[in-house]
Amino acid sequence: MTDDVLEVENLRKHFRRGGGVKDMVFGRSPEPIKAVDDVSFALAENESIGVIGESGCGKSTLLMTLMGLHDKTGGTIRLDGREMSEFSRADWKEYRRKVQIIFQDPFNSLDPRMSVRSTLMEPLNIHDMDDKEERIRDILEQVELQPADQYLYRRPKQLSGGEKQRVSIARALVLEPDVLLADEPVSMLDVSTQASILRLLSRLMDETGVSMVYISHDLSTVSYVCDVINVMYLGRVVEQAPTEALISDPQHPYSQALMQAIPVPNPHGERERTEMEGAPRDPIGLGEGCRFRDRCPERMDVCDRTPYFVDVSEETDVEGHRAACHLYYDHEATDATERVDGEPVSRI
Amino acid sequence: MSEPLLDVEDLTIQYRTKNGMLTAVSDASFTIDRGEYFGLVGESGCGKSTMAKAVLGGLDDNGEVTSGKIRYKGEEIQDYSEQELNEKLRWREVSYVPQGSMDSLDPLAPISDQAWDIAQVHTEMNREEAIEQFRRMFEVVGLQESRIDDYPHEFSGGMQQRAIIAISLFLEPSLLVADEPTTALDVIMQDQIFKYLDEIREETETSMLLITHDISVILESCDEMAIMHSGQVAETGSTVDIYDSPRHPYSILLQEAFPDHRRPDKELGVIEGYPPQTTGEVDFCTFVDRCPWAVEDCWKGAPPLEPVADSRTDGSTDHMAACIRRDEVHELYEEERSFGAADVEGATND
Amino acid sequence: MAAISKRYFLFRTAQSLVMIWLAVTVLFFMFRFMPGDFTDVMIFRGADPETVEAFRKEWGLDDPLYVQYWRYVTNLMQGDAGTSLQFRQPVFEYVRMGIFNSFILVAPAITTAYLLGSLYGLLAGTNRGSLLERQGIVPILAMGATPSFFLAMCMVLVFGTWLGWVPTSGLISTETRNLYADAPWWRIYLTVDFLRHYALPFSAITLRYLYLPSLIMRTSVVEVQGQAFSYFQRLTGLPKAKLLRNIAKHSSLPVVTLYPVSMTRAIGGLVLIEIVFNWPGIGYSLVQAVLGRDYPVLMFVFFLIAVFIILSNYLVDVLYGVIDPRVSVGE
Repeated sequence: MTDDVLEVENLRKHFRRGGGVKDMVFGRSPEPIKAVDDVSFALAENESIGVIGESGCGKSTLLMTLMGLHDKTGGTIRLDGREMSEFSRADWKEYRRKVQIIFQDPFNSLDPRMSVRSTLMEPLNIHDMDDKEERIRDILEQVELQPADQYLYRRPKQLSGGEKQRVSIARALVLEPDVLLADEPVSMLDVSTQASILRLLSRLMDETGVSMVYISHDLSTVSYVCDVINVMYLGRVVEQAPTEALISDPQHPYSQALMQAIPVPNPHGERERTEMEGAPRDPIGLGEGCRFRDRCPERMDVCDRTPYFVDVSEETDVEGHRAACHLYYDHEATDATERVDGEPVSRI
Repeated sequence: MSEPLLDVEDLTIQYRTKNGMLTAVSDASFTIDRGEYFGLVGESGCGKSTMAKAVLGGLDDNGEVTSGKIRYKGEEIQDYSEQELNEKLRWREVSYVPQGSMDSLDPLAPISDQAWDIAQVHTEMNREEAIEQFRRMFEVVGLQESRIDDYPHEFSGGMQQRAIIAISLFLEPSLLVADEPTTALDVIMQDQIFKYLDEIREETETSMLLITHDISVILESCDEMAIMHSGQVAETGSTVDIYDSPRHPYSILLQEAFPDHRRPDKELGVIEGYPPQTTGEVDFCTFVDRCPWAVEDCWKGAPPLEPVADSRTDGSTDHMAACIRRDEVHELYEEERSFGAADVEGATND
Repeated sequence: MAAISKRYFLFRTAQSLVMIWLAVTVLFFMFRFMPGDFTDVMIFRGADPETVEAFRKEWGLDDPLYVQYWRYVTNLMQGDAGTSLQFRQPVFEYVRMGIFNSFILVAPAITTAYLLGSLYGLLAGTNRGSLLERQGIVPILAMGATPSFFLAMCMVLVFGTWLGWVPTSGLISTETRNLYADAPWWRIYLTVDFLRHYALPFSAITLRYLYLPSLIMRTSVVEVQGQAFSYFQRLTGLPKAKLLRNIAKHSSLPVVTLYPVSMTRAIGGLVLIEIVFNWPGIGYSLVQAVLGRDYPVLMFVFFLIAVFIILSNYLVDVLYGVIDPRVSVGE
C-alpha cells in the first residue's frame, strides 16, 4: 500500500563478529550474527503493530535499525515512500522528527540533570519549532501530568516510574511525529501503573493519529495496544496477524507454543505446561531452512528449506493473517521455495 | 496439621537511614507448610524482596528485624549470627534465587567450581558426586551439561538465570526462596522451569517462597499466597480463595489492573496514587489514600490480619485479610460494578 | 584460574617483542641525534685532531647511521653490548654488577610493597570504619608523600645513627669483602652482613611505595563487596575465609595492573636512594655515563630498563588474562 507511513521490506541486519588471527591472515570473516533476517511489514496511518518474541529474537535490533541507530545490512526502509539509504542530511533530520522512540527503562532514559521543561525543550530547539512553551504545556496536559506548572521544573529524581515514562512519551510526541517506536515501555513498571500508561498510549493514538511499532516479550500488554502482531523468532517473522486472530487461533507452531505457555491468572485453570524442550539456538551460522525446526513438534523434511510467508486467512477466516510455515504450503502446486507470480501458493 | 516449615509472626523490618527508620515490612505474618508453594505478590517497594532476604539473614547492613519472629522448623532464626546462618540454614535448608541473577555468578570462576564450593561447605560429598548432582540439575533447567565448566560470561542472560536456579536446587533444600526467578526469561522458558518445579513438588517435600509481581504465575503455580502493600500484608490465603473471593480492597483492584491476553478488550483498572514510604511505627492502613472504600477508622490503627467470614464451606480459616471492612467491601464493589459500563470478568462466586 | 585465550597470549608476546625492538631502535637513533659525542669530551680534555680522527675511525663513528645501527643490533643479539667509551671496557662487564645490585633492591621491594599494600587494602576494605581503615592509612600516605631520598635519610638518621641497629652505607662491610675476596661473586650476598646492609634501603623503597596498592586495593575491595555475586556468595553460606579469598581475587585485578607502573617509578627514583645509601647500583654509573657522553653504556642500561618494563607489563597482562577469563583480544 503506497499510503503506508512506514514500509519495511526484506530488512536485514547482520553483525560481524571479531575473528581470530588466522581469519585475519586468510581474509576470512566468521559467520555473522543474523539478528534481523528478511523482515517485512507495512505500517499504515494510525495503525499500531506489535512485535513479540523471546529475548534474543531480534526485536530490539529491529527497532534500533528502524531508528537509524544501526545501519541496515540489506533490504529497504521507506518513510512516506522515500528510501532510507537515499536520505540526505536534511532527510535524516526530517526522519528523526517524524520517527520517535520511547525506551524501556524509565530510570535511565531521562537525563538526571535536566528538568522536565528542559527535556521537552531540547527536541523543540533541535527541530526549530515554534510556540515552544505552549507546546510543552499542551503535551504535559495530554500525558496527564497536571497541573503542568507543578511538573515543569521537576527533575527525574522527583518523579515516579510512571511519571518518568509519561515524560518520555511527552518528549516523543512533542514533535508531532508520524511514527512512535516503543521498546517495552511498561515492562519495568508496576501493574497498576502499566495499566494507566497503556491506556494513555491508546488514547494518544486516537487523539493524534500517530502510528506505533510496539516491541515486547509480554503478549498481554502488546495485545492491549496493537492492531496487528508480528511474532519473531531468531531474526525472522514467523507469523503476522490481527491481534484477536493471533491470540485465539495462532497458526505457526511457535506462536501456538507461545500462546499456550502464557500463564493465565486463574488458579482453577487447567492450562497444560508447555511440551517444548530446549531453548532457541545461537543466532550464528543458522543457514537455510526454518529456524524453528529443531524444536518444532510438527517438523517435516521439507522444513530444511526456508519457508516464506503464506496467507492463512482462509484457515482462520481473518484477513491479513500470514504464517511462514511449511504446514500451510501447497507443496504440489509449487516447490516450497519457489514463488508463483511473486507469492507462494497456499494450501487449499 | 504438622508444624509449618516457615512461620513469620508480626515481623517488622526497618532500615536505618538519614531520614529516620524506614519501615520496609510492618507486622507481617504468614506461614508456609512443607511441600507448599507460597507466592508473595505486590508492587515494587512493598517489602516482598526485603522479606525474602530476611529469611536468609541477607538484609543490608542498615537493615534489621526490629520486632517479630521468623521460625524455621520451629526454631527462631531472626537473630541468628552469620555463623549460625552459614552452618544451619543457608543452602542446605534454604536456598535463594536472587532478582537479576545474571550478576550473581562469579565472573572469574567456572560454574562447576562455584557449585563445588557450595557443596563442599554444606555436604560430605566428594567432588565427583557433587558435580554429578549438579550436572543433572543443569539438564533439568535446559542447559547442556557439557557446559558446566564454562564461565558465566559465556552464557546468555537467560541461561545464567537458569544456571543460578540449578545452583539453588542441586543440594535439595527444603525451602527455595525465589525473588523474580523468571522475569528475564520468556514465557516458554518460564513454563519449562515451572513444569520442573511442579514435578519437584510431587516427588519431594520442597517448599517454595515465590516472590513476583506477576500474579498469573502465582495463581497458576502456587498453593497459597499473600498480597503485600507498602510493608503490610493485605491478604493471605489459598490462591483459589483469593482469586474467587478477594476481600481486601487492594486485592480486588489489583486483579482488575492485570492485563489478560485472552481478553484484550478488557478495561484495565487503575489504582490511584502510589504506595507510601513509611517511617517509624506504622499505625494506619497504608492503602488508605488509594482505597475507594476508606473510612476514618482506617487511620486509627494498622488493621490486623483477621479471618474472613464464610471463606470456605468447611469453615477452615486460613483466608485472612487486613481490612476493617473486609466482610463488606466485595459487596460494595459488586454493586458499583453492576452500575458501571465496564465489562470485567467477575471474581466472586458467593 | 583459566587457560587464557591462546590468541591473547600470542598477540601479547608478539607485541612485546616488537616493543623491545622498537626500544632498541628509538634509543639508538635518539642518542645519535643528540648533539655532541665522546669526541667532544676528548677535545675538551685536550686531545689533538689526529687522535680524534683515529678514534672516530676506530669506532666507526663516521659510517652512515643505518650501518652503525645494523652493526649495533646484530652485536647486541650476539651478546655484545659495545664498549664503554670512558673505560674501554665491554659495556656488559662494566654494568653487570651495578644492574644486579639495583635489581635485587627494587624488585623485591616493590613486590613486598604490593603484597603488604594489598593485605592492608583487603583488611581495611572488609572492615570499614575500623581503626585500621581510618587511621592506618595515615602513616602509609605520609610516607608516600615524602620524596624518596628524604624518607631514606630519615631512616638513616633514626635506624642507623640514633638506634644503631643497622649499618647505613654500602653493600657489605670491608671485613666481609676481605673475607670473601677469593670466593665466587655471589658469595657475599649470602651473608648476614649483607642482609643488615640491605635492610634499610629495602625498607625505604617498600614503605615509600606502599600507598598505591593500599588505596587501590581498598577501593577495589569495597566495590567488589557491593557487587551482586558477593552478596549471592554470602547467602549461599560460604564461610568468611572463602568469601575473602574470592573478594581478594577480584579486587586484585586493578592492583596487578599497576604493579609495573610502580616498578617503573621506583626505577626512576633509584639513583637518589642509591646515593643516600651508597649502594653500588647502576644509578651512580648512569650519572657518570651521562656526564661522560658514554652512550654505549647509556644505551644498554636504558635498553635493559625498557626491556624490564616491557616484560613486567607483559607478565602482568598474561597474569591478568589467567585470572580473568573475560579478557580477550579484538572482540
